[in-house]
Amino acid sequence: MPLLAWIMMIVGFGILFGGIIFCIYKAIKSGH
Amino acid sequence: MNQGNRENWDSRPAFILAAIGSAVGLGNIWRFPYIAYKYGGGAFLIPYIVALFTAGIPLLILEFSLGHKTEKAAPNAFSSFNKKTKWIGWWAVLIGMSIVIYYAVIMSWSLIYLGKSFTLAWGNTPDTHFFNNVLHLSKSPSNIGMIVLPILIGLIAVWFWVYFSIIKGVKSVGKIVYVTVIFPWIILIILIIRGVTLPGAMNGLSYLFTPNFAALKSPEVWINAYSQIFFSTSIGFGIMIAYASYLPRKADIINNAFLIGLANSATSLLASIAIFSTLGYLSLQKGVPVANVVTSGPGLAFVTYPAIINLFPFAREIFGALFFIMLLTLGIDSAFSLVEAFSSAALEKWKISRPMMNFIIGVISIVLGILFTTNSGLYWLDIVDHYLSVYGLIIIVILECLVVGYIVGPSVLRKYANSQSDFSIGRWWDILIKFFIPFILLVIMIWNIKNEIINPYGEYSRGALFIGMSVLIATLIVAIILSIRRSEFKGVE
Repeated sequence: MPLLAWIMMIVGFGILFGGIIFCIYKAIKSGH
Repeated sequence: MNQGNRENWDSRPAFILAAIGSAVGLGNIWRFPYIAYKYGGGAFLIPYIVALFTAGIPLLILEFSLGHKTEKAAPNAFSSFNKKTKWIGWWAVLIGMSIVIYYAVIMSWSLIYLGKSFTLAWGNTPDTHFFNNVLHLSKSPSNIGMIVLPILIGLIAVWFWVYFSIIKGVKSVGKIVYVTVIFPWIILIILIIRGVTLPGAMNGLSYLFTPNFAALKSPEVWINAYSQIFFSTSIGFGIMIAYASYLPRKADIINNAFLIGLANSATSLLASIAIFSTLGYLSLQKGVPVANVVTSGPGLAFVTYPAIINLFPFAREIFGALFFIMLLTLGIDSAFSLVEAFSSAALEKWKISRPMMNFIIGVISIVLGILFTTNSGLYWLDIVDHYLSVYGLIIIVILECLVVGYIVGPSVLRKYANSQSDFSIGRWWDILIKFFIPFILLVIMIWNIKNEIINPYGEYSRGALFIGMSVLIATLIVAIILSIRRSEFKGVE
């Protein structure tokens, strides 16, 4: 697979799963 | 506005899983991978993620705020701010209810295929098997033919499943989603592992993710990215309004909206790996380019994927069964969320017990769904779906934005959401709701109408398309009647 394809895949997953982890972290921190 | 005695979700995870389950459906498996591949590959992720943050998540915040603030299902949620907008809420839940009538038929096909997967009954010609042996497809929509009995039996079984899933409203939904949301994710991971370890998988993934940045200059790519977000986030059918109305008073809105929107899109991306890795394998086995084996929609699930399963080196029956169990569990939470949105609204209008209301809804839906179990069912499903889930959804979301933007006032909902949530949103949200999202939706609608004038949808006859459009108009008429008629349940409205 070309390098650019790897980059797009990793960035896409990074944003989506990074966002999910951030949301879960905020929820745990707030104690909601 | 609050009644104070509304039932609540058992826990925050139960609500989040139910909302994710509603958003994640068959479209994540059979529509997103194809759209991403067709409109720029890896580069498509840029407009898609932009659309998620500028339309999908803001609309989830809108619907959650509406439902949570009013503690009511869509019709009364709108009516709480302006009585003349009640019909919009009814129209939203009626369109959703109409969609589930044929969505349950697709689940019936999946149920039939789950049975077939244990013996790989589709044989070496999955396409002929699906269209001739399963659907008994006629030549045109006007050749309605006969009811296909196995599909009707499957339809009744699916409605039993839906009925028992929502028998106690959010109390039973909140329990069942731990299975029906988490289980398909586990299967998806198993299918990804299976897919990427097959020869040719990287070739398939390369087709999907290699970016074509030049495609980003095309408005069509952006229109499709926004459409994909609108059609796959379960907005516009009153589901998220109803689900949020059952949240406890001290509940987060904004963080939940981000979490649900992100999880829905992440599932789509994971599904695209499962699908394209196996398409790469199929292209290698057949000795043809990946482009020649790429499909979407029912063709992918019931023709191409069975063909791929035939070529798996071992445990073909198990992987076949897992795939169709995944489709069923993905579909069931979308189906019962659509019913629950309508049922919640109807229970606020009529004084009937919840099980009785759901039973009546189930029986009427099975009767109306019979058309889709006939020899011409696939055609009618395609036609009606086009008008309800494309035009119906677009018009409803535009109306929703206009009501909140210009009647309720976006700052009212924004301040409410901020007061409830783990983190806050700024005035940018007001601008998105008042101007940007309605504008984008209008562009999508004009673009669709323009395409239809040039090429009538699916090359169906004008008469068949007129009937499809009539279903949408019929839901509007019923919505207006329901919003005018007084409630039989005093004290609710």
